[in-house]
Amino acid sequence: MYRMKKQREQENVRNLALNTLLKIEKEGAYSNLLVNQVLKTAKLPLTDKGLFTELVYGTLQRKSTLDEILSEYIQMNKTALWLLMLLRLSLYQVLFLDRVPEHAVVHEAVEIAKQRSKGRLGSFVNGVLRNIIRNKEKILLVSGSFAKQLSFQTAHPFWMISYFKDNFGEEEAQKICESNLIPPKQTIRLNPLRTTRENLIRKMKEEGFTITPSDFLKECFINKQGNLALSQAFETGLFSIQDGSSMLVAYASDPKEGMKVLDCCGAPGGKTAHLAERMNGTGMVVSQDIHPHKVRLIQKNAKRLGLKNIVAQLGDAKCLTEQHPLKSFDIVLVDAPCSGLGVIRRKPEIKDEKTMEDLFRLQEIQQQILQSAAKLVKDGGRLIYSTCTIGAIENQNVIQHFLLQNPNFTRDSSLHARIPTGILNKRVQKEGELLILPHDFNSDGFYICALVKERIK
Amino acid sequence: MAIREIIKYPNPILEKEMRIVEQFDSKLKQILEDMYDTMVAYDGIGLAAPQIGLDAQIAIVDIDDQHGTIEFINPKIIAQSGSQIDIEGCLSFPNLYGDVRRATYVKIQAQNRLGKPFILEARGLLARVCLHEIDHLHGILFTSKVVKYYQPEELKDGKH
Repeated sequence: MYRMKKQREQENVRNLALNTLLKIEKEGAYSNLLVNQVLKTAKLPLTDKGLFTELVYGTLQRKSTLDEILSEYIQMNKTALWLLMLLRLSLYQVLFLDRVPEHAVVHEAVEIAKQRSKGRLGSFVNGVLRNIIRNKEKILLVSGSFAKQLSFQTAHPFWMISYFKDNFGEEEAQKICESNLIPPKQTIRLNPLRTTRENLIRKMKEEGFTITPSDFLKECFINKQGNLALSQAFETGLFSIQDGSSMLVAYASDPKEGMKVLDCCGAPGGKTAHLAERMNGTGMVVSQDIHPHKVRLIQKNAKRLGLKNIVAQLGDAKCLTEQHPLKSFDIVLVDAPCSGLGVIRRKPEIKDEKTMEDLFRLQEIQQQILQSAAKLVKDGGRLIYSTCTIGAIENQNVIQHFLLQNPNFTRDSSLHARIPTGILNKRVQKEGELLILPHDFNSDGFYICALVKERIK
Repeated sequence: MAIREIIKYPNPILEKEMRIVEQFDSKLKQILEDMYDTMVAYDGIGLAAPQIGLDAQIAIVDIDDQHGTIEFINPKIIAQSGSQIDIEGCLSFPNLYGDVRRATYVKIQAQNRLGKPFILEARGLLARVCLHEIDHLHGILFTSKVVKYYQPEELKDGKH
């Protein structure tokens, strides 16, 4: 039987947030995907949609802080998962959401607890929450080392904070962690083959959306409200949904009409499409992924955008020479699999799931892919390496290692000339590299390095 | 995980009496997982086996309440009472909605995925969905019980 709209409206936003959090915890669902899916199907009123997103992301983002407090009031390992999650969710609102009155939080939590425990646990939840509220002032006043304080305030694990501190210093580390708590804005990339800036703004307005142009990139717009993936204009391929930082990859690659380009970790196809658009539908962008369903995703995107110069195919980026002749591409893009430390605002669970070991494990894969990709670059061609993570292990160290083993590649001294100056001026950038931290432009934390293959004389 | 294709009316399987399930094996488990994925993918709150083309008395219901996902194998209605009228829609009839009279309370006996019998009492929306899905297992479609159809436009204005 279908879920009817009327039946949906009986849904309570906190119950929905609780169910979503439980699903993320139990099934390891990616939070941004699940939140979008729920928002699409749940038909909450607009005001509740904002609250729902805030409740889910907020509770995930502050999980370690919330657990530290809760562990003083309850026996964490003896508490049922739904009850623990309900307490986290409620505590998050009490401590960090000013606009929700405390009594309302407690009341709702007690109702949900009663419903789920046949009445038994209502008074338990009431007791725990009221006890914490009484001590709220004291809880919020924390002292201690930099990492401890920052970890408490922003709920990042210690190792991650030290890693940020080692890489960028205390001040930047704090800014990174704080900006990771701010929910991301949806940004879109105009498809110049299908529309113009004026036309797109007008079309979106007709559909009830407000988009504002980005200060730095001409094809980028920022969405004010609502989900643009549900618009007619998206269906008809007028734009793609993509973060501003990711768009810089096409700037760094700068493909020309008629070129042959390889995007060897291409899915879901956002950067592939950007490259193909820049080539004005000419030449060829081969976009590969190791999973068949992701290859279909690239195909679907290319079709939606009307880009006939994209060839999506199955392939393992670690052994590219088995699939393509040596030196057969003008540009090869390695948008490598990574830990995602730059996109924590989109996927807060990264904070709990990733470990230092993961960074080293990923580094090995990144090196393998880069090594295999390098062989396909034509002499004088370009090799672009990018990740949505920050920190040396998966970025600068990978490049250093690569350059030592491949003396026929050098850092591309012309990279910075291809990047808009407003972006370049934000921080000191090394030759051939571009590093964006999440608080620089409220976009994803990102790393790009451009390398050039020697021309044989 | 696999999302199966939804069988649409007038496929004859939708109007047949379904076979009793006798094997409680890993195949059944797989069917139940697929049915869940399919139900969620199509924004359903209930799904019966014939709707994915399987001749078996299997139905699942999940209305996002404290019951979670309820799996019914070979369900039987052992008591029902009361009467409520409310709108229903069915995954096998896209864009067709109508008011259906159902009991407000229902007591169901069924088996779980391991074959263990259980009894469930349901009220309100949960009772409605259970009854809708159990009807599917006997070839009964909601269209045979609709007292009033809605035009798709009527549903857009926020009344429902």
